[in-house]
Amino acid sequence: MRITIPRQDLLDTVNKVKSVVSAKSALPILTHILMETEKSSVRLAATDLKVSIECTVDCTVSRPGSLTVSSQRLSSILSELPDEDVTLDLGENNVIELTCGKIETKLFGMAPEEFPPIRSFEGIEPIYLKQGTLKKLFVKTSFAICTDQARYNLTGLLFQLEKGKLVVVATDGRRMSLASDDEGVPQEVEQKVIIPSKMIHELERLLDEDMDVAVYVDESQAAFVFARMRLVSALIEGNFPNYEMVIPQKHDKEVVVETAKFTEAMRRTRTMTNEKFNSVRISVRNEVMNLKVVTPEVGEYEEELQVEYTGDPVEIAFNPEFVLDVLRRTDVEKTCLILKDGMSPGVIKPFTEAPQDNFVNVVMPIRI
Amino acid sequence: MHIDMDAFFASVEEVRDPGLRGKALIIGGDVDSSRGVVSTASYEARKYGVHSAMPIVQARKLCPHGIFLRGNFHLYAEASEKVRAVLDTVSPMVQMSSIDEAYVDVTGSQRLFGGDDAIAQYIKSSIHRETGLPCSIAIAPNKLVAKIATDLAKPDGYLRVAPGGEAALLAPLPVRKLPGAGPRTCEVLESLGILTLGQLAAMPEVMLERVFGQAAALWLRRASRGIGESVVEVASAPKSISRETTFEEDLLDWSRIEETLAYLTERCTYALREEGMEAKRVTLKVRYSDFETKTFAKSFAEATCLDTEIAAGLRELIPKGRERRARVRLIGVCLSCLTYNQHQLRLFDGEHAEKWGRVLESADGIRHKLGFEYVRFGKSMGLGRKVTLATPSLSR
Repeated sequence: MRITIPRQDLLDTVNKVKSVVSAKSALPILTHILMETEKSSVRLAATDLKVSIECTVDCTVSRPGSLTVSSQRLSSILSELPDEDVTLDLGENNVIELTCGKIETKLFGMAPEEFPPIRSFEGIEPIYLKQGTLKKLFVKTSFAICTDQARYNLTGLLFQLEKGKLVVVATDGRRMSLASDDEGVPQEVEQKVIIPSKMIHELERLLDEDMDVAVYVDESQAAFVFARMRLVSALIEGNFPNYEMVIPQKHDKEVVVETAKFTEAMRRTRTMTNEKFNSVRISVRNEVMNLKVVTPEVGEYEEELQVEYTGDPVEIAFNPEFVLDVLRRTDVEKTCLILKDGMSPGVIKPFTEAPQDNFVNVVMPIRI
Repeated sequence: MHIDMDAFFASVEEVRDPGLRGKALIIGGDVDSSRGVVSTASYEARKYGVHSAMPIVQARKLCPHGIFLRGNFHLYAEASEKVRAVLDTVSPMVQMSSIDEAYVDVTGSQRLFGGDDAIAQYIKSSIHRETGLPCSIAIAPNKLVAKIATDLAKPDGYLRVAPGGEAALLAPLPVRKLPGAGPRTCEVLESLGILTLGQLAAMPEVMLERVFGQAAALWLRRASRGIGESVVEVASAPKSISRETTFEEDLLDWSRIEETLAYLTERCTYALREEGMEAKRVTLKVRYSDFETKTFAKSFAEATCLDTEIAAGLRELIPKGRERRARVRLIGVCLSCLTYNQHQLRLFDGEHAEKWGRVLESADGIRHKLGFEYVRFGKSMGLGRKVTLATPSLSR
């Protein structure tokens, strides 16, 4: 195979796919990128066997074929080369000659046949969704995905299509985040799968313009196809907890607070916490919210905020990080805190005239 | 100020049984077998050359008529608590450096008590009233000199080192009296003909640097003149909590080892909860009969203080400890990566943990009132109600 391509185009494409490649792998081929020519383009593929990314870029194909090359090596060479056209030429014994102006390098590749095949979804009907919608929902919820591999079924995002609505849910057992949208979601499709966090983070990074994305799902894998890219991931087998049961329905204490002021105050409380002690006590009484932190060996912090609330006094303690994670992703002026008492889960929602149900966060308190 | 209880364990025994007074008392881990070491010898026994850390066998040879006791460690811990309570009335800056030793910063207590001598007098009489035990006290400008001076004041004495008097006090002492100078350092010093701290203080710095390196030389030079800067460290949160014991005889039977391990784990988790903390890591320590010591650790996804979860972690480690088919001499548990228990509630399966949390809370309450032995769980019950470990560990 022999191709010629502007150096920046190739570098951008390599950087798109290489993030799934692990630096060290039991299988050396997994540290490589596969390059395969098409008519007047080349397709780059990288995989860790769980998540695969393919991306196609235009180039001049003077001899069709395929090769593999170390992703780390290729990307570091490309980023140091001058901005000219580069030519990749596969010789005998998988030796790749890379030339750029007067620079000539030789890289040792591996046999392309060794590269693991990536699942094709031929014959499966895709679901068309909006890239922007997906990205927004993923960004809102992915922070709550569990990182503890011992709770495997929680290490991904629940992706559910039902009645013309897309609902995504993430939880780590201490807080849960749910976001939903119906913009551009087809009515009749139903689907419910758990997508691993690595795939979600890759999609967050790569999803971009407001164009369609085609989603293919079968029993064990899912693919997202958009903008000359195709991401394939194994699905997490197992049951996701019943998220509807987790959202408390009978809480009656609704505290409405300005998002920006609440965020600033919570950020300040955080300066007085440490790894060992990470808790802020929130008490609300007669339109005043009192935030208090008492951390052994560190110090104390107290602040009062004006809020909209007239019910019975209520007191609860949270990990400030959990609250901030939500506030950072709240894009409206007011936030609503729905509480019952210090021992029951708190609910945080955006507030415009009424609490909004398209971004629901359940945060478990710290016992006072 | 530095305070050191005189022949602590032996003195406690004398208070418990006045008939032992004035006898050569030797307290050691396992006095009946050939394996224990002396933890304390009374002054009477010291006359025969018995000292702590000496094998029991050797002590028996030196002092055949001595009274050998296994020791009542809970009594010692109790007495230590009482001493601490007295010190707490003197100053908020109390550092218990071991079970029978403490540093107290009395700078701020002068006006309250009317000077150093009055403070020392008050402490000595209060401790005697509360526990019946003798102690030695030294008040000096810094911790280093205070510790050395306490040693000079023993037994049942008091020494005050006025500011400026440090170097003069230290000068005639042998280099081995300097806390922090190890046996190797002392050997080197002596081989250089430096026998006393006064000689050490007079050495040119360049020469010391050549032998010990810059940092150590600077420290030696300053310390030998009685210059110390370390401050009294008020007890901070522990970094780890461990319990370990040496068996009376090396064991091959893991069912018995596991019973002891379960008991040690209970001790650990109890101490952990008393501190109001949770652990993220549990380590199993095994010393085999050939003294090879191995540790196996497991980290938890989330910090815990529940016996059930920590025992489950240990169960995963036990097969690793068993891989070597050798007899086991010592077994231990260590809980580390400690954080304060914040009682973060859970969305799912929280009920189980909450329930156990409540059970253990009640159990700890009973233990407070009646003693640790009154509530025990699972395997550790196989040891019987009264557990006597050959070598109890009293570490935090």
